[in-house]
Amino acid sequence: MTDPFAPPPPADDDDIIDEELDAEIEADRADAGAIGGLAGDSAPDQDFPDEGFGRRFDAEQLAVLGGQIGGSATAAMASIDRDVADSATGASDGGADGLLHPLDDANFGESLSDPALKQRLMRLAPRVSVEPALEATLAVANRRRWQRRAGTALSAAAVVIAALLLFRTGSSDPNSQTLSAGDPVTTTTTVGPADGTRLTPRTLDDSGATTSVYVPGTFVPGTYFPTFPTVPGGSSTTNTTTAPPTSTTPPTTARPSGEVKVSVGPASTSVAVGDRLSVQVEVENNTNAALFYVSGSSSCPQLARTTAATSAGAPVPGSGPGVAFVGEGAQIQDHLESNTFGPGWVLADPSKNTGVCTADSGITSIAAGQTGLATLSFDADAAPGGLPSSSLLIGTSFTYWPSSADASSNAANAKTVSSSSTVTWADSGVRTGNMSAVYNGVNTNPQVRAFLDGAEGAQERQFLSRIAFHAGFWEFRLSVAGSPATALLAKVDPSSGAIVVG
Amino acid sequence: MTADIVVEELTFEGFFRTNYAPLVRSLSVACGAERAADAVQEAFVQANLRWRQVSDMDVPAAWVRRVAVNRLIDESRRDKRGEDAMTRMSAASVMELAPADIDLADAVGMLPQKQRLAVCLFYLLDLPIDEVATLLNSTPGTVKSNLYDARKRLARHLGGSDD
Repeated sequence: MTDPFAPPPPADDDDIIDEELDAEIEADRADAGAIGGLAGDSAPDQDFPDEGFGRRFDAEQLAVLGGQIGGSATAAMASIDRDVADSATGASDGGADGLLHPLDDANFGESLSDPALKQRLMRLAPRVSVEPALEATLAVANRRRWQRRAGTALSAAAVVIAALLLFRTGSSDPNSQTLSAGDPVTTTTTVGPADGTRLTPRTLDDSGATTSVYVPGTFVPGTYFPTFPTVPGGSSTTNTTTAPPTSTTPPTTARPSGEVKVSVGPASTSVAVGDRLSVQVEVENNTNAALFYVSGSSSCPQLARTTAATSAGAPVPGSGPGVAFVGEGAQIQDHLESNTFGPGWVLADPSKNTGVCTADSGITSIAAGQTGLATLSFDADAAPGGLPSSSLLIGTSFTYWPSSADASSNAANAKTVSSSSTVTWADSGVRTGNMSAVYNGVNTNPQVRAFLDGAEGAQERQFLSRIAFHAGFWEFRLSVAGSPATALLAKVDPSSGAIVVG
Repeated sequence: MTADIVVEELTFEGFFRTNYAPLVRSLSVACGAERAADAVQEAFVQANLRWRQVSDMDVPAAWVRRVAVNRLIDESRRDKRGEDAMTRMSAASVMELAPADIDLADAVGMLPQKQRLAVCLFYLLDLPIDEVATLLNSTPGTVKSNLYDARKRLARHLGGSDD
């Protein structure tokens, strides 16, 4: 006769590999064997005797759990229910040590002990390999530590950069600034005459003509924008309008009405380190709520710090939302020879692959009757360094549309004004570095290479978006989405290409 | 002559090797192997990151158990995966279990989560009622009641009675 209470054999002797738990199982198996032996003497349908079972409930429970007690299951459950009722009423079935689960703290825990149930449950526990798990756990922990340190460093960098920007920009009202060379200036008078005079704070006293363009702006649904007039005095400045939309379907929302004044400069001039080249757009006499933004780009990454500021409301520069975008150089994505994320990326020499420094003012909303102002500023790099190109082109565009219309879905309502200016470096060639050596050094540096190819993944590579020249070195930086903070990836000697910090 | 008493410093690796497998195996029965392994690993990661403080605790393993169980409970609150975790675990392990064990796995899987956890912590990890209560943010009396109810449900299921 087989033991009815013996636990079923394991499906696989190797099912449980943990030695400690195996030992417990063996001990429990011995206990269960003892219990089973007693119960096994009982014939089917035979009630369990109170005597002989130190814990009658355990035996009953075990019998029911195993489903192997034959016809006694119902009787066992009846006994359980009876004892529950007894415990609730304070009655007793008279069993000395075999009372079922009295629901008081003093006794209930003891009555819950059930080695057989424990043994059965242990058979359900899966295999566990400790060493691989330990290795994985340590790897995860180390990665978290690295991320924390990186996050802390980036936060600190953000604070420093914000402080520097605050120091650099000073008051939100530039007219109250004490200006010095290299200070940012945002004012409608920053555009100098088209006579080659440099656009710098040093030339603010120059009273040249402003290269502004006024666009008559009574925009009637179903009609299109007038031809953008020639900028007065801008000998090499061109302005174009976008091609008229082919759709003649009248827009469902009113278009903004008013005038658009675009101030672009300098035209055909030279720039020096510390100069700021500004493009400003005003929306005046606006009769309807509208959205607008200005975006721009320069062809040379040496216009390293690109800022874009927007303001809405009264045409007081800097009185609006403020700086919407601050970068430290060209977007390095433009310097990558592959536009596909993944291993194999290289940082391309901007002297061979024209770098583009871009900025976007961000979308500014203006209410009816307000005048809006958006400004883009391109700063020539303040540090000496390589200038791979002798001239640069600044292009900007201005787009606005009724605030109730979505720009992407209602392009017919959007108006774009484009402008471009060509300037030359006043001291072209002076700072030309060995850019091939620089990029070769970056691309072959093991740490940079590991970063570009590595398992850290595309997410980090997407943040690889800044290159700038600072303190005599080319710096390749990681930017953080939504933040002006950057973290240094590599610092490269401009002449030898040697990695100074990597 | 006095004997020198050498107090061996508790290393994370040693701590892990001692406590990882029992905890994963026990919680696997309650919540499924994958979720249990994830929760326990996260608990040990947290312990590693704070090892100086954790190793100074009287019972570092209790801290890890608390973190792991909290994570499992939080996860089950966030989604409903906890409700079928045991079912998935059983399905994944069914080929390795004897028929009677499959029945028991099914029965355990039908228990409410707190009862499953109580059963596994009490019977598999051999934790005292008080610690089970602490881990489950409950009281000892409630834990005992949960254990009682769990056993009754298991008995009912395996015994084929609806009573």
